[in-house]
Amino acid sequence: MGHLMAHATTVFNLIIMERKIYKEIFSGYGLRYAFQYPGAEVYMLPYIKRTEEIDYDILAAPEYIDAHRPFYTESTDDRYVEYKSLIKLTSLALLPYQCCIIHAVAVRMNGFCWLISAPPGTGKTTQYYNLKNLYGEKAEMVCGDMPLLKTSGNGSIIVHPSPWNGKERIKGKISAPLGGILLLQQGDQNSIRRMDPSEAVFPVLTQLAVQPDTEEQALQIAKIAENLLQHFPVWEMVNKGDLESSRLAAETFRRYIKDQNNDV
Amino acid sequence: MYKTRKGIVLTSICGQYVLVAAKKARENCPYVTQINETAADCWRLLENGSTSEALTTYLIEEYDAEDASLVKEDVDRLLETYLEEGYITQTEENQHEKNE
Repeated sequence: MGHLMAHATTVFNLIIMERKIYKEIFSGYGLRYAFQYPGAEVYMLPYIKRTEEIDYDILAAPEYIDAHRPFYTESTDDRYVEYKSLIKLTSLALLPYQCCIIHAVAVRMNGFCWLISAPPGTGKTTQYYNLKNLYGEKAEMVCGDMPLLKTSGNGSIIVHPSPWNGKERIKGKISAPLGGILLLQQGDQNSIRRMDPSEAVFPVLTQLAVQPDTEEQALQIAKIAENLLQHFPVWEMVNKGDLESSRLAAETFRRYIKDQNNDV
Repeated sequence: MYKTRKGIVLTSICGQYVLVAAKKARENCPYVTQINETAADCWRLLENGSTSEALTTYLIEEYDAEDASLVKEDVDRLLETYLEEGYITQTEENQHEKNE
């Protein structure tokens, strides 16, 4: 019996040791991931890197992954479902650091990152392609779907790429300080207006890619939203999705930066 | 008697009052709802349990309202909304009064 127990312990240790750990390498927090489904890590490359560490910060439980299954077709790979299920776990892990993930296309122009946010299918990625079309290298992708917002002590925010970059899988590899947020709506005409922070509370709050498990987390999320809205401009843009709408957005960003520099 | 459900936080963001529901509470109510100042006042009273009459009395005094019946109507409508949305629950005491 002692021999069997030793064998079971050895096998158990091997199973633990077999689980490879990967570390996130862009934001500086270095969250460490383990995976239920070997191969799920491929979806997160190149934003994670294999590490020799044996401890991890995030591992989605099988039942947690299963709870996400209904959002995908039956044929969707388990590894993909696991990869997607990690968005919220990552955001929750980062909350104590005033950091979280937001649902937006993040584009760097004029040295700053502009978050183009809207419900799926509204035309966020179209705006990026338009900007790329119009401005070439001057418009650079930071993240195509779920950028990571990292708050520093003075309230400034750096926007980082994350492994969740949208169905087009445009993998940004740069970070940039946040300039502002553009809330997109579809319409028959192109128009843009600066919103009062109080107007933007609900849309910004609901675009943060995290819902709290606890009351404490709810307050942390509210604090992040407050910091975003107090320190960064939010515009509402009704748009046709054409090049003119993107030119309007870009000109708005450029003018804002110019005004900020003039104020200094 | 009405009481707020556990796991819901009243917070203020840029001067706007917002109810944010944590995980367990979201089984019964929406994740986020924006409310006005009066509704936020009522919420604070409901956190310790309150009745329609107590809320009405408080609001009349707080806002120097002249039309008590109008205030009562607004309070009842608010309580109905909170109940429908799952933000508050009703204790047996109040239900018993309702059945009479």
